[in-house]
Amino acid sequence: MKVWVTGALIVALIVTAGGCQSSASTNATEKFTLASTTSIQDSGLLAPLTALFEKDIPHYRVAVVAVGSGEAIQLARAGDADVLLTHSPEDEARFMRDGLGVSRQPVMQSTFVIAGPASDPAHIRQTSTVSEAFTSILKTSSKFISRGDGSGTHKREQKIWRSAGVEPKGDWYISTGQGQGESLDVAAQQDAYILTDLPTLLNNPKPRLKVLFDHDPILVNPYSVIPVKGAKHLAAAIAFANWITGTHARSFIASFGKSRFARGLFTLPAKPTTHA
Amino acid sequence: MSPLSEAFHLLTHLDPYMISVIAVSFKVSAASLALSMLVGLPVGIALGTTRFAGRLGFLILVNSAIGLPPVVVGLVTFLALRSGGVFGSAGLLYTPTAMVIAQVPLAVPLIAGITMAAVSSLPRGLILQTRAFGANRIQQIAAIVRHSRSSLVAACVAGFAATISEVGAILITGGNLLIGGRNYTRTMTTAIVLETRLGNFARALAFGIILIAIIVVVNIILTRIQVGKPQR
Repeated sequence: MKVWVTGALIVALIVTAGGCQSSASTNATEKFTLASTTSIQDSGLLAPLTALFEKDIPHYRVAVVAVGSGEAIQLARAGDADVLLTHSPEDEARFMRDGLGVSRQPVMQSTFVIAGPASDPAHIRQTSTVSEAFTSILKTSSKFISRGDGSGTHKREQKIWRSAGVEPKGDWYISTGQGQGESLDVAAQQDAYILTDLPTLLNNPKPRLKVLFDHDPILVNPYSVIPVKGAKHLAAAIAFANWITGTHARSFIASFGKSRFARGLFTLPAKPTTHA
Repeated sequence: MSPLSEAFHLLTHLDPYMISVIAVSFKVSAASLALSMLVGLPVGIALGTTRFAGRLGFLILVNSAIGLPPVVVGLVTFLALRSGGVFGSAGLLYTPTAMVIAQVPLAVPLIAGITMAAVSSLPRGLILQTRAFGANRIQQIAAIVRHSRSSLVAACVAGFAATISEVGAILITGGNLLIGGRNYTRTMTTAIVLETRLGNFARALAFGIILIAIIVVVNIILTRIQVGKPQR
């Protein structure tokens, strides 16, 4: 056992050292880190979008870290990310107020929906606001799956409970602490309600999860790009932010998913933005 | 404060959440270990003491199973337990029971393998001797267990260490859930994954320190068994 542990440590050290070497030896292209969210990755947009960027500007290579918005911003604060693509407006605003971002530009938006079992035990189809829908889930003690991971989606969910003036407590309220894809799986398996961004749900369809509530305009889910001040690869970060808010990326984002879902998964911000 | 010093501060001021995470870890590992011992010890003793056609095949099977990737075992268990799966109607997915089901196939080969090696290395005359004294099959097994007991303890301790530090299988099958704010299937390892994602590095480190402490204690026990009571 002892020998085994020592052996494993040695192997781990070799692997880590090897990893560092290989990343340092790529001189031809400049690699930078994009900290983004599981919801963009699980929607299927992130991979083709970054591939398109690398095709347009071959000089750069994007290393994508897809985590919750909370951790993405933490990574940026610690200097481990060069550019952020997140959807947690309050956290982003605080990040800018703290003087940590170069600029914050809107990239796109999707919508949040409440999905759940077709039987709809809390009758949220008949409710007219998302606060009403949440209150009805609470009053009927219907199972509800929370991300519970400080992500943009989790923050939004907490905001809705607050604005509804109720506190989710009880055995019906289940917190996964995992990404959007995994949490959808838990909701489908438990016949539970869940707040999710629509693109991730459409890209990971679950026969037992239906969109039951999508008709409150406050459920808009805006994504922003922020190059991190003092980033190790600041020029790359700014180039990425300019590219993703530029015409090529905009048309790609607007058409993404149209062939498969008969509708775009993301919409563009109301007014086109130019980089300062 | 650095994450490390903050982690030590958390360890000296354990909150109910951390205690519940540690408790679920021990509960799941203890249950996995108990079931794995029930299967692994007899299988190891049988393979170590008997000679039969096809034994070689079993040895290869046990030794290969020691290297099973936990996350694959978790995936297969998940697919079997999810609704629509072979055992979907049992409703066990995302329960501590599902985590135990996923961990038993990981611990059994380890326990069986170490037991087998220990029992095989017993002096060949031992069984013949007990048989000569008129011992029946059960008394023979008792003699074998008596003579290799420190190695059998070592096998079980190794099984416990393997289950408590495992993350891939239990994250998929347990779901890392809190229900109504109370911990249900969150262990130290799955909590480390979550706390790191949340940016709570101190909390993640605190759980990591506890896990490493457990592994060190386990190795102290193992080393003392091996050094203190050498096998004949």
